[in-house]
Parts: sequence; structure tokens; C-alpha cells
Amino acid sequence: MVDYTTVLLNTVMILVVFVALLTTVAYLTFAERRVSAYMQDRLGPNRVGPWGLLQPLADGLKFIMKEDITPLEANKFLYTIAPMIAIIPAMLTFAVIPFGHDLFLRGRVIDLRIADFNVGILYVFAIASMGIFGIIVGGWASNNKFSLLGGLRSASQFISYEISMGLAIIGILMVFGTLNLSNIALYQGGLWFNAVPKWGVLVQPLGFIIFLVSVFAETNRVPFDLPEAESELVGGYHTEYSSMKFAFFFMGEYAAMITASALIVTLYFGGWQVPYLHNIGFVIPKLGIFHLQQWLVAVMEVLSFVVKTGFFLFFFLWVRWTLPRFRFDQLTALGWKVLIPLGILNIVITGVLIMYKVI
Amino acid sequence: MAENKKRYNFKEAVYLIEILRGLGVTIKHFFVRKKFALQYPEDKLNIVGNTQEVMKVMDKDAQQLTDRVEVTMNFRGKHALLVDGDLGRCVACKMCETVCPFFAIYIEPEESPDPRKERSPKIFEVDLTRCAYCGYCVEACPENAITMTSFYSLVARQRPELAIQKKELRKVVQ
Amino acid sequence: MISHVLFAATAVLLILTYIYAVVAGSPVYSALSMGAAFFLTSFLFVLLGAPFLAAVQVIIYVGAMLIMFLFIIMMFNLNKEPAAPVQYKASTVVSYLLIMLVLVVSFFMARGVMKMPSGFTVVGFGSAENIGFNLLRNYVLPFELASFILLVGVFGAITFVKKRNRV
Repeated sequence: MVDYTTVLLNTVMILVVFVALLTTVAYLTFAERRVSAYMQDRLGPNRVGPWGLLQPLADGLKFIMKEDITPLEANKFLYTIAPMIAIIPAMLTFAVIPFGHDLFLRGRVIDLRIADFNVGILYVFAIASMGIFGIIVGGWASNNKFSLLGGLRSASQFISYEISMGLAIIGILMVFGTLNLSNIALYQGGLWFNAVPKWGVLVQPLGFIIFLVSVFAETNRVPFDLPEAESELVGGYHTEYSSMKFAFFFMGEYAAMITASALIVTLYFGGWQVPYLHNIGFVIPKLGIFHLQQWLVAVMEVLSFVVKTGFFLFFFLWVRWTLPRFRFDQLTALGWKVLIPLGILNIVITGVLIMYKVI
Repeated sequence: MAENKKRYNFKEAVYLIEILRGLGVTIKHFFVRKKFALQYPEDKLNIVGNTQEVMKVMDKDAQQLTDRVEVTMNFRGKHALLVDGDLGRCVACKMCETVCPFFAIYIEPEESPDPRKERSPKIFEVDLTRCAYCGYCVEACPENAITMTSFYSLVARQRPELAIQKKELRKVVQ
Repeated sequence: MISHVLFAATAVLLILTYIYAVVAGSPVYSALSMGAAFFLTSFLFVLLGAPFLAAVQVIIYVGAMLIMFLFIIMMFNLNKEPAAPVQYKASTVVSYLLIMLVLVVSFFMARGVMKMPSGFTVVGFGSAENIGFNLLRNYVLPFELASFILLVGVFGAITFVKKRNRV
């Protein structure tokens, strides 16, 4: 028997998350321009709508109206599907990110996540690794040496940093003992020495730094944006792309950024957890309990997730307008000679600490 | 590469501390920032003073840019044909048309209503899309009839609108 | 029922993508269709109740190996060389017949699978915990030996590179 209410609820949830994701992508492009402008003592786009808030709409309209050019010598089929391969995984990965605790509403339990997947973290890795194909295939299909070089750089960069990223999260998995992102977020509500919230960043500081650096490399953001290094490769893998095809690459990059931020928050900053906040209200050891309504708690949790993710999105932009780009040999040296040994060291340290029951 | 490798001290070698310092610089600019940009259609430049003065004003305090600044006196903007009283100074000698390196000026003479002059221009057209604002026409004019104003906002929806006629060029001299 | 249909459809698609990977003229198409095949394989794992294996399949094969393949193909621009024309020799015909035989056999095996009830797996079968227990407790010696074989492979690669540099 199909429970139609559940189906309806899930559909609504998927729609809400999807629309929220797309809106965030749109406004992230706007925020990028505005933040970069402010950091460089400029003003940024402020013409379309109040404070330029309708700029993403204008951008979207512009992308649609632009001429869609396919180079004559390009591989038509791969050239067309590459932007799709780039954007779909970026959207799919968000499905397992929990953005709130289970909500009890009229005798019904509502999971505030689209899919409660038992191997959620591996799912994110698997799907994210699909996204890189869009870049590689697009770069190759354009039949342009700059695009090809961009795609190749992206491939080698991705392989190098996926390893250090995997090593970094092994520490988290050892501490929390689960692959399920919902449970990882849930366990971070626990208290350490009965006082400090057991957030991933406090339990795994070294792992967090490795993960953060690797995430920047995986999302092709500055200082690791070598696949689209303007000064060397014209436009990198999307040199030949125009119109909506280019927009898809662009949106894919930003959606990947959002997922990356959400993942950082879920793994290392307690996900939707607010310190000391439980289902019944604030529970502070030795001070007592402050009761709160259930819906208020849920709203605070979702808000906490949004604020934390927003901070990391800002951090992405912040870093972009602060640091210069790495040289390619520096990039690979950092990945293989620094981050991977550090990741292994982190696993060893974590193992020792778990053995002596410190964590 | 290897021979001129710089020795880093520990703080620089770890790199993360230096990154944090860099992030500090950018966030400072994010929150505390000077206003350099001129919001063009709302805040316009007025034209007073000479180049040195303008530069001084801009250097001293960019804050007050919008109130005080100013393009120089010798700025070469849109052309003007000077008119004394009722009558234009131009005698349609075609000196400016000849000297113009870009063929931006077109003159068609007619008999002048003024008894002191033989000719005056029936059509005097300056094509601003061709003009490079070099000012040769001003130099060449024997009657000091053509001059350049400080009007710089040369915008039009269509090209013909930028081919300006005698009427629009008229400027009365007090 | 619906999972059976999905399983059959995926299996057929999987075989088709692998066949295309063999016969495709361009190496890039070949590699990409292999990627699709890996992905479909992981989908089969999901249908069989082994999500951990599915995720690892995609991460290792699609995320690492296939990118490496594509990297090499693009780096050396293998696509420019004309692919060898397919010649239908006796051996080709025989191999196609063998493929047919495999298909028929697998069809009967698939029928066997379909007869099983949908919950034919043990609870926790294919989960990360189960695989971990099996690999690191019951079969730890073969597991470690396999890692030594990989290590030998790494040494071999390094030796190759070293030699070329010296000459």
C-alpha cells in the first residue's frame, strides 16, 4: 500500500530543496561579484533592481539569448552532453545532506533530508567524481588545445586531491563510526567532557584542514583553479562554450561549491546542530533546561545549517579574492607530498586517541 | 629554480598563518572601504579648473570626488559654433573640413544674410562617430568660430543622432 | 516486481555498453561507454542490496581508473590514429557465438535470480560493517597479501620511470 502523504511530502521536499539550491546558485554568482567588488573597494553590480538583487535574472536572460556556438571541428555529441554531465551530479549530491533533525508533526516523522542513505558519504564521493567527466569530456570535445589542457589539468588535480580528501574523512568515520551523514550530524550533538560540543572540527582539527584544502581543489576554486586559469589557458575547459551550455558549466561549479560547503558543515561543524540545543530545548549541563516549542527548535536547526553553509560559501569567495593561483607543480607537490602524508598521520593519531578513549 | 630557492622561516613555511593574514587584509577591505567609484548618471563630473588642480583634488580625498571633481578646462568634448548676438561667426571657409583628419565635418555654404560676410554655412554637420576630438578644427579656424565644449556625455540610440547639425552646435557668446 | 524489471533492463543495458566499449571506433567513446558500464554495474549492486560496494565501484572505477584512462587517451591524442578496421575472420565469428552463449547462459541464471524472493539477502549483507568484518577479520591475511601485490606494482612503476630517466 502506497502511503500517498509520504510520497507527497517527499515530492514537496525535493522541490523545495531543488528550487532553494538553484536560487542559491543564482545568488551565489551575484554574491561573488558583489563580494569581490567590496574586497577590492569597488561597488559591483548594483543597477538591476534594488541593490542589484535582480542581477541573476538579467544574467540568466542574457545566457538564454546568447548565440549557441558549436565549433566546426568539435565532437558534436560529446560537446553537447558535457555540460549536462557537469551539472547533474552537482545537483544530485545534495540529496543526502541532512539539514535538520527528524521533525515530529501530527504523529508523523518527517526526515529533513531527501534521502537517508546508509553510505551517504560514499555516495557524495561517487557522484562528485562523475561531475569531473563533464569537464574532461567538454575540454576534449571542444577540439581546442586550451580546453584540452584545462580538462587534463582537472583530471590530474581531481585524482590527486580525491585521495587526500578520502584520507581526511577516514578520521571522521573512525570517530563517529558511521557512513551515514544524518548520523554523523546527530552524533556531533554529543558533549565532550560534558561541556564542549563534539563537533568534527574540534575532534579532527588536522583532518578538517586537509579536507578544506582538498575541497577547494575538488571544486576547482582559487587557489586551485588551474583548469580554467585565465592567464594561461584563455577560459580553460569552457573556452569554446557559449550561451546556456556555458551557463550549465558555471552553475555546476557553483552547485558543487554549495554541496562542498554543506558537506564541510555536516562533517566538521555539526550539520544542523546548535550547541546545547536538543529536541526539548536548550540543555546546558549544570545550568538546567530551557524548554522550547518543537517547531521553534526545528526552525533554529535548519537556520543553523543555512547560516553555517552560508558562512562557508562566503569563505569560498573570501579565499578566492585573497590568494593567487598555485603553479601546477606546486599543486601536485602539495597534494602528494604534504596532504597525503598528513592524512595518513591524522589517521594514525586518531587511531591512537580512540584506543586510549580520548575521543 | 633550485638555485634561487628562498629560505622560509617556520611561519612562512607553514603557509596557513600567512593565508590567515591575507584573509585579514581582504576582510578589512570588505567592511571598511573607501568610495572611489562614481555612480555615473546620478553623480556627474562638472568641468572646472585645470589638470593639476583636478589631480590634486582626486589624490587628497577620494571621498569628495563626487562633489568637487572635475574635468579640466582644456577638455575637448562636443563641438560648438559660436554665435555673436544673432549672427554666427562661421564664414563657411571649409578650413576645418579640410584639416579634419577623419572627414568628420561636412559644410555646405550659402549666401550670408550678414552684409559684412560673403558666406555662411547652410549645413554644418559634425559626425561625432568619426570625430577623434583632436581639436585641429579649432586650431584651423580663422574666425575663432568653432570651439570644443566640455560636454562629454555623447550617447545616442542610433548612429544618425550623432551626426549633429548646425542648430545643435549653436553656442551664444556673451 | 519493479526491481526485477529494473534489474533485467540494467543488465541488458550493461551488456550493450560493454559491447559498444569493445567495438567503438574512437578510444574516447570506448572509455566513456566503459564508464557507463561501471556505473550500471554499481546500479546492479544497489539493486542487489549492496550499496557500499556500489559506491566503492563508482569511486574506484569511474572516479579514479576511468579518469586515468581518459587522461592517457587525451594526453597522447590517441583519437587521431585511425582505428583498425574490423575484420570478420573465423575467430571473430566464434567469439561472437561465445558471447551469445554467455548471454543465453546468463539469461537462464537471471531466471534463477528472479525466482528468488526480493528479500533474498541476509540482513546487513553488503553493508560497510559486514564487508569490513570479512576483510579485516576473517580474511585479513589474503587482504594484506593483495595489498603487497599492489605495492609490488607501485615499485615496478617507479623502477620503469627511473630507468628511462637515466638513459
